[in-house]
Amino acid sequence: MAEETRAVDQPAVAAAGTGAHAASSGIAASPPTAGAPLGPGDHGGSRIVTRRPGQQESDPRRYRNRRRRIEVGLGIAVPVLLFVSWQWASKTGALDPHFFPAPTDLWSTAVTSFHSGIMGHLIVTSFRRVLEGFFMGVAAALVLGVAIGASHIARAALQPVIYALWAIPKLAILPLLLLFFGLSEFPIILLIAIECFFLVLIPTIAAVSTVSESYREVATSFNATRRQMLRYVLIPGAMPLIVVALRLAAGASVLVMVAAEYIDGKPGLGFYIFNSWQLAESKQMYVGIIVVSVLGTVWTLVIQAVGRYFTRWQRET
Amino acid sequence: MDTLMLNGHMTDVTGRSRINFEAVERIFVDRQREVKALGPLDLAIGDGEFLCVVGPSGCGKSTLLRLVGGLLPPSAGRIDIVQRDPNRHLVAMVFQDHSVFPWRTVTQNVRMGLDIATDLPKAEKESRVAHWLDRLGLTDVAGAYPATLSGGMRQRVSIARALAVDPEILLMDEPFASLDAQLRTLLQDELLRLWEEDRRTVVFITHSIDEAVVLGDRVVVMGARPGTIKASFDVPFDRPRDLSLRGSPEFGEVVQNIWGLLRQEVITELEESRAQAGGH
Repeated sequence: MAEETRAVDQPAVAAAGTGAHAASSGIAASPPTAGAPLGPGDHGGSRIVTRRPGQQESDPRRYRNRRRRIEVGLGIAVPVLLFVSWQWASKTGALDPHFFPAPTDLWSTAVTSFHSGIMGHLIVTSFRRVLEGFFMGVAAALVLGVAIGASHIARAALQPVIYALWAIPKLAILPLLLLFFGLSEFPIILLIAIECFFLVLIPTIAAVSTVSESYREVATSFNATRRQMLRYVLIPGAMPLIVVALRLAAGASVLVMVAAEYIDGKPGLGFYIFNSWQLAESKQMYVGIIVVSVLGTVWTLVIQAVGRYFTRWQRET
Repeated sequence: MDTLMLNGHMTDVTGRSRINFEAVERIFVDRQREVKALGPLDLAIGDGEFLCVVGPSGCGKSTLLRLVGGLLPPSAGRIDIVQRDPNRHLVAMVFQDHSVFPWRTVTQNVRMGLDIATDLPKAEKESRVAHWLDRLGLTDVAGAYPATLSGGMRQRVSIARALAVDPEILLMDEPFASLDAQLRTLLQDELLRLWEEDRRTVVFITHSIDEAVVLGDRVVVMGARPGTIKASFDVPFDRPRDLSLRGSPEFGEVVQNIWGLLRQEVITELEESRAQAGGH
């Protein structure tokens, strides 16, 4: 190896002209020419391929607006179409109206239950449970998830435990919670919280622990503290995955609310559906299901909008 | 202000060294074996020197830079770095592409080092950021997210971010490697002009000999695995340098000289990796 270290600190330059190098720096610029069409003498299978801007390029704004209108229209038209065909099938007897009452019939049932104030009360009670459970579970999951994701040791210690607990069917522990806390609000809220907790915890750990090394290095090179590393790099870097997890948790929180109310028997939307089944009131059942589904959708959309704000730097296609 | 004085022209390239490597080694440990990536390596980098490091891929150039930057500790030996002003940020690094944060706007990216490493008043931060945005032609895209910018603009952001903390030493890890040739030439010229203003110590890693000769006071050639210094060339061209330098016969000669040495290293590296692949 030693004999290789020659020419140390030697500006090895002779003035001998190597003209080739100088010549190579001259750039022969040829302007880009548009493909000329083939001459008329060209017969047989020859053709002219012309590329020109399509509609999208000639008026991009109008194209975009039109596309947006179509997308919004589709979002509305498809559900409407589904309702219309349901109505038609039920009225013509293609579907047994006993099991599938027509939407217009459901409408009158819905109007009655809203007018009497029952439905409003059910919505408020049930969604208070959903919100409380969701925020409890999510808050705990974010704090713990970020802490565990940022630490090798914590991950090694806790990940097996987390997976073991995650594998327990959450509804199976509701009786346990009922035993501890009685037939009150709290077991339902806690069950929702537990479900949301795991749904958010696991992706958060994964997201924080896989933020690109090159981003970490930038912060390290500025002597970032642990807290600064979290604030500037790990949390924002993990945000896209966290946002997806929040959306899943929003959906799951409604699902668990309904299931827990079936079992717990506290008044609420879930119990309303279950009770209607017991009373063979299929119209009420449908109204309950539709209300839950609409509220679940709104709730998920709200979370999605919040999430989009936190990941507004991402380009959506 | 102290900083201004320190920024004064200190071109005693031959004088005391600013960064000194002494028998430095770096070993990486993976599942089965230990791989020596670097060293033993001795290297003295002068005060105010613009040092370029070239070498075959995998020779440990980036490792060398990360050792100076404190991102990696050496496995053996020592690195001494002179810090003139303990209140000033010692080193800042410009990374390859993919180091600009997509979740921060251009302004926020440039301000990031100031936010993390300093507690300057807000107004001071803002004026510094504005200064560097302006110097690198980023003012018009200040509020944009990096996803909407070209590669060249993103690298400007990366450079501005490093310079905004006014580091004593600037470390650059193949900052222009992912750019096309024309853009690279343009950014090299911009970098030269910026550097002329304060002539701070720079360690610049590149795989392009042309780039090394255009920018550097000295070009160090590293050999293949484990990385060691094979040779060191003083670049004989006067400052300030400009575009015309690249076309001169002398420039070609220097590049050829360095390439003559580097070629052997590249071939050795190629053969070694072939032998390794064949051996399995």
